Amino acid sequence: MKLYKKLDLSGSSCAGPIGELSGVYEEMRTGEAVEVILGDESTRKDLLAWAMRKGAQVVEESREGNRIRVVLVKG
Amino acid sequence: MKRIAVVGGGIGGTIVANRIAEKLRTEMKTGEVEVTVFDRSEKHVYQPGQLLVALGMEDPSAIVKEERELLNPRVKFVYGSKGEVVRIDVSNHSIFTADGASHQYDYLVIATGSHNDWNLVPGLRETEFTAWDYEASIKMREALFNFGGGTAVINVARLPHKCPVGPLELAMLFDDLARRKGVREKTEIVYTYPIKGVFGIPSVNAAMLKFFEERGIKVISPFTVKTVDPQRKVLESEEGETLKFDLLMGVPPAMGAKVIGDSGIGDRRNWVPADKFTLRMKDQSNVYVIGDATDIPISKAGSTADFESYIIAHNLVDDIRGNLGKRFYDGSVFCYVAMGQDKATYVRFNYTTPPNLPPPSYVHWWGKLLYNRLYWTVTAKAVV
Repeated sequence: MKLYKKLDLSGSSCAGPIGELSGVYEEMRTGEAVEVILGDESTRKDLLAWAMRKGAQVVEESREGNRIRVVLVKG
Repeated sequence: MKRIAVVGGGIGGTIVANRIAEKLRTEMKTGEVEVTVFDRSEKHVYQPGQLLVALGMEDPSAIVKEERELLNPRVKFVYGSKGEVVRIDVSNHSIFTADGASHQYDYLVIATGSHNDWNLVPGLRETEFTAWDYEASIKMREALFNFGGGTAVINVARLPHKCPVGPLELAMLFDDLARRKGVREKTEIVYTYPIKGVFGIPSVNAAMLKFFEERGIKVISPFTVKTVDPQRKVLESEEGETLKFDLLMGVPPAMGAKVIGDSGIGDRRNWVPADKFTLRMKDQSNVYVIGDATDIPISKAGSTADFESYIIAHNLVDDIRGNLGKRFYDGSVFCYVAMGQDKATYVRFNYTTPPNLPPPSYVHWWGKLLYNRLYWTVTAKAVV
């Protein structure tokens, strides 16, 4: 599994965490991974729903305080 | 002598060059420091004004000025083939221009912006009117003038893109225009967005969905446009939907500048990896990245570049003088959002504090227009 990028999506941005991730996901090749840091549970739920629609596989999840780390592999 | 090269004379490059020149005016006077802005064009387009041009609310000539007029007289400016940077070699601290010359730098600011990538979606270039390009915004004005009703689709092709609130503004302004032209009753406005909703920030998304509903603007999302059939006037999405239109407007996919890809210093979309707090290019101690050019998950907007310019100018001056201490970018963004042809609201937020939209008002509308005017005399010249 090749890690393409690490993204800190815990802050506010106009595209939002899913929008920012969607842009990077499109750059990725099948089988590559992206590691994302999220700032809240609600975003995690949105991300998991988005990943399912896109056919991305969640291969790792962990928490450190309020920060949630998720690793996704492009399907 | 320390040489500071700023690649790109758009909003970010111009403001940061002026801010550095003001802070280092003594060193520049004595010849200890030289600041040079490189750009292919001698013209400076105020890109946020293109939307108002497209809607027929602004004179195209009012959003263009000579770059030289905006820059501090102490800043050197080169344009044309002498200013068009074709390769950046960060290992050897040099840049190469289209005239074949190479230029050494001690410090570099990459301000190469974001650019439309029409090729990502077949058929889009032939069919879509957009305000995300100066010439195209003038063509769009004609199309809107001639529009007599039908299905008008506003499509956001991909995220992120520059001027993120722009498509929301376009929807509201177009709705207003259709009402003023007396064609709103025979017009369906459809807004498509690549992720669920109409905007990435939950508080803004919720507020805008309500406004869209009140205005009768239909939302289809997630909708990631895959192809456009120019003959049949049909959009097809990756999600499997098709959508027929009479008028297609929107935001094409965005990517970083070609020179970033040609120099091998960006990611696959030519965004330059940068630290979200220091705005330094990753693994480079003497290179900063400003505005749309970065890969930072922050809004690609003129105000972002303006806020970032304070941090970069301060930190770069500290790099040279060594006595100021470093500052950190907090993710600040401020954008007015037109909600019609005589009212606006705004988004103001940073990494840790999400925005709440104030009620749309006439006062904010005038704030927006005033800000556009003050850009030339205050913001671009880094007066404050």
